[in-house]
Amino acid sequence: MTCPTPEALSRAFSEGADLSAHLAGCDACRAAWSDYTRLRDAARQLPWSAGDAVTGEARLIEAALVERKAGRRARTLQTRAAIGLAIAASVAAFFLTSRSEPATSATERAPVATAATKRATVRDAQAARFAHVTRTAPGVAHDEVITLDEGTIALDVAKLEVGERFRVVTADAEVEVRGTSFEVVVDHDHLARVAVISGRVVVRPRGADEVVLGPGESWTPPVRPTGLASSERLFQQGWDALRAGDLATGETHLAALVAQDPHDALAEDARYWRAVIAQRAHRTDDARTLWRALLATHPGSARAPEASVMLGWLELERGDKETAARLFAKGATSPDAEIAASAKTGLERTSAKN
Amino acid sequence: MSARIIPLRAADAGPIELSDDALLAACGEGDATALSLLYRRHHGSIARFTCRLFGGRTAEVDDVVQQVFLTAWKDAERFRGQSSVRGWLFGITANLARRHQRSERRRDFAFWKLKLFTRTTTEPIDDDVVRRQLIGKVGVALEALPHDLRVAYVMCEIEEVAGIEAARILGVRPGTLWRRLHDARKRLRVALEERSTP
Repeated sequence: MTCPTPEALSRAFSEGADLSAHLAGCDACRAAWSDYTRLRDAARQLPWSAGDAVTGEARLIEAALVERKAGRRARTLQTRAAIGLAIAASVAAFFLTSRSEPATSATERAPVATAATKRATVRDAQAARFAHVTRTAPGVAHDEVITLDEGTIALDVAKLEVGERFRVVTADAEVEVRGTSFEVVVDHDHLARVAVISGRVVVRPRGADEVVLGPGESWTPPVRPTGLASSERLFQQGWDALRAGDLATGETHLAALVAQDPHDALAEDARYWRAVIAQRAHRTDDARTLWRALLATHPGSARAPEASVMLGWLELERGDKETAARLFAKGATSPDAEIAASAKTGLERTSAKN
Repeated sequence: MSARIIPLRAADAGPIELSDDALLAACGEGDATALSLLYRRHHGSIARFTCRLFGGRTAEVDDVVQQVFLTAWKDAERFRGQSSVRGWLFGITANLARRHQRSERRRDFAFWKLKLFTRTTTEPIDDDVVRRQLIGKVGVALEALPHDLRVAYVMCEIEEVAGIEAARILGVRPGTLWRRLHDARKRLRVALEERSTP
């Protein structure tokens, strides 16, 4: 009997070759094959986690848009619109049809395309680039999101049931409705206008207070300063300092961001990293205060389960088992296996007699 | 005049799926929606691949996954269709992972969160303990492999990319890929035997 070389045996295993006849009579090759199988099966069971996909996607798109703005890409508007429409049509499962009548006014404009979601009709009046997603979240029965990349869309949203949400999300704002007709305009990745025909909508521009619009009312953004917003600059400076190992400077920038723009979207990240820094530096009291602040200010944050677990351990350390157990129970809901496992361990510790 | 709605098919009909190649081509034209779809389709397998290469979930995994898709966004026009888009993304990941792991300071920073979770109690012993021990040993041994061997093993054995395609993705000859796979297996077997020895 001629054995294959070890390399050939390894390759045969990778390619799924049938060597059963040879393996039946060769102890050495059978042992190697068996080890290969055990190794492969164990390796495929190594724990992993996809992380927070929604946040990751939002950050990716933001970074990609910044990249695009930097002028590193060349493209023609014609191609862009054609591809954008194809994407929007296919992915959103919307149905498109064209009409050739000329536009008249914002509200009476003849649409070049229409689409329907579960709760809304979208009139794609100016070849807008948009996509539709339906999300699920705890406590939300139905959450529809239209992501509008560019252009103008007019929407008629049916009255929503309790627990249902409908939003239009742009790169820099969110518009939430409760059953209405309205129009949203995005210009070069920025929300440029919201006009309400009937009903009420809430406009939430990033870094600014929300605005409630009634019938006949409209919203346009204030004149934007050029360059990065102050909060973005502070966050970037803080992050750069942390990456360079300068924790004190990093924390200073993050603290300044929270003080300056406590409701800014980046304030959540700033609060989170400040708490991590404090805990890593064994400033237990500070860490406890900062985790509490994060949970109180952003109870719905994707980071909330993790913050609960971190705070749970701190509470357990100082002997408050009841509070710790409550926090671990919240942390146990995390989709992140590592955080959920830590919460489970914490719960076991809080239920131990000593 | 009011808008006339002409539905052509049911509102809840499933989406028409664009191919990965089409999405990547759209990315090359600067279409952020296409990038979003590409991310949703592949971020799980890229995150898993990165976790395997890094020996577990770290904050750095998120960084790498982000950079993989940003690189795809910037370099979409360079894709020549010589492998699947998923395989091409694996290739980008392998390159980025090599660069990331060169810097110990960044690695230390990325492990912050992991270190914060080190306070664990004794795990209960159950019937599954042997299996879990084996998985743990494989994880440690895998992490100790040289980068090229680890990439070959993870790509082919865990992510099930065919050897010929993996060689193309990594820019090496098929023979080199087979040799790396064999070396990886040999080292993993030795590592397991050493750890099993009292």
